[in-house]
Amino acid sequence: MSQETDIQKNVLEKIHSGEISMRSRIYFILRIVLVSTVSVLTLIGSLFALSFAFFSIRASGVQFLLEFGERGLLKFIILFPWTSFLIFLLFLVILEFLIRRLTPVYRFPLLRIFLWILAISVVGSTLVDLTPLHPFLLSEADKDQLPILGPWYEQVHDSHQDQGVYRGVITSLTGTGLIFVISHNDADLDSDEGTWTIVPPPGFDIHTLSVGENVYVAGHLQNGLVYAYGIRVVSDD
Amino acid sequence: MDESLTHKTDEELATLMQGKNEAAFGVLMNRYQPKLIRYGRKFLSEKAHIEDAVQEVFIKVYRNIQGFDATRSFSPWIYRIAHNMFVNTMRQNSRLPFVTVDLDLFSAHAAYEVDPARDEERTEMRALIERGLKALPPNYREVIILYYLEQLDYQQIADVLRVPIGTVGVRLHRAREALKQYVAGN
Repeated sequence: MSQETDIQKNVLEKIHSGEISMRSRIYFILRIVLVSTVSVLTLIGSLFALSFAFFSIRASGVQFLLEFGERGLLKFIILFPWTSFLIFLLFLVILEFLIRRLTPVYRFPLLRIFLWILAISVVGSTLVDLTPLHPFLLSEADKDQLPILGPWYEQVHDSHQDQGVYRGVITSLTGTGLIFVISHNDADLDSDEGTWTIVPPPGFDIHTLSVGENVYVAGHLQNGLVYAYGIRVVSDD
Repeated sequence: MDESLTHKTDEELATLMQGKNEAAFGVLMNRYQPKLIRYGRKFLSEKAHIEDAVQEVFIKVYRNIQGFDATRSFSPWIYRIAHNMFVNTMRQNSRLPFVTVDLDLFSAHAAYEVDPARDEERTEMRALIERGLKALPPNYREVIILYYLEQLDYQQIADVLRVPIGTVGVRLHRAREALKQYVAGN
C-alpha cells in the first residue's frame, strides 16, 4: 500500500509544483469544434470528388464505352476517373476515422459504419451532380479562370487517342458512305487535337450521322484510318 | 480525507474535480489505484512499469478531466486511458506490432447478445483466469479482465476498447473457450 500512496503523492506533488496543469474546458470544446469542422470539410471533399467522377464520366463521353461491348468495357475501366475515385475513398476513410473519434459509433461494426458513410456520400454526390456546379467550373476552366482545379477539369476534354478513343465534330461524310472525318479542337492546343478518318463498324448506318455532329468513337488506328468498333453521337447538352 | 466525499459516486467526484476540488481527485485515486494496478498486472510484468503507468494514468485524468462528460459513466473513461497507457507501455517493452488488423471489428455479430454472467460462472472463470490468463492473446486477455475481474458490462468494455459491442461478445466467447481449452490441456 505504501507504493500506492507514493503514486498519489507523486501526482499531487506534480500538481502543486505546477509541473502538470488541468486543461481548460475551452480546449476540449475547441478540439470538438476542430474535429467537427475537419469532418464536415472531409465530407464536402468526398462529395465533391465523387460527384466530379460522375460528371467526368458523363462529360468526357467515357460512359459511351459501356455500349461498345467487351472492348469498350475494358477501355471504360482504363479511362475511369480513378484519381477522383481514390481521392473520394481516401476522404471516406479519413471521415470514418474522425467520426469514430467524435462519437461513440465505434460501438457498431466498422463495415456497417463504412457502408453508411458510403451510402450517404453516393446519394449526396448524386445530388451535387444534379446541380450546375461542375459544368460551371468546367466552363471557368475552359476560360483559364479556374486556379488549382483547372487542369483537373480540363482533363474532361481529353480525347485519349492512345487508348483508341476519339472525340470530334464530323466535318465531312464521304460519298461511299463508309468513311467520315472528324476533328477535335478543344482550343488548348493539346496533342489530342487532330483530324481522323473513321471506318464505321460493319452494319453501322452512316446515314444516321450528319456533318456538324459531335461523335465519340472507339477503334484502332491502322494505316491512317481508325477502324471503329463503336460510334456514338454526343448531344450538345 | 473528507469523509463526505467517500460516499459520492465516481461521476460526482469527477464533477467536483472539474471544479478544481483536489480532495475529490484524492478519493478517485484511492478508489482506482488498486483496480488499475490489478488491471496493469495483466499487461505488464514489471512492478515498476505498472506503477509508472498508473501514475501517468492519474496525470492524464487530471489534465483531461474537463473533457469528461459527467452524464456518462466514469469507469470506462478511466479504463480507456489506462488501457491505452498499458498497451503503449507493453509495446515499448516488447516487439508487438504498432498496428494490428482485427477482422472482428469489421462485421456484425448479432448472435452475441449482452448476457450477464451468473455468479457461479464468474467464480469458475476467475479460477480459470488465475491458471491460464497469460496463455491468451492480448485482445482476448483484456476483454476477460474487464468483464470478469473489473466487472464492466459489454457496453462499457466497448467504450474502453473502442470496439463494436458485438466484437466484445465474440472475443469473450472465444477467450472463454481458449481459456478452458488451455486449462484442460495443462
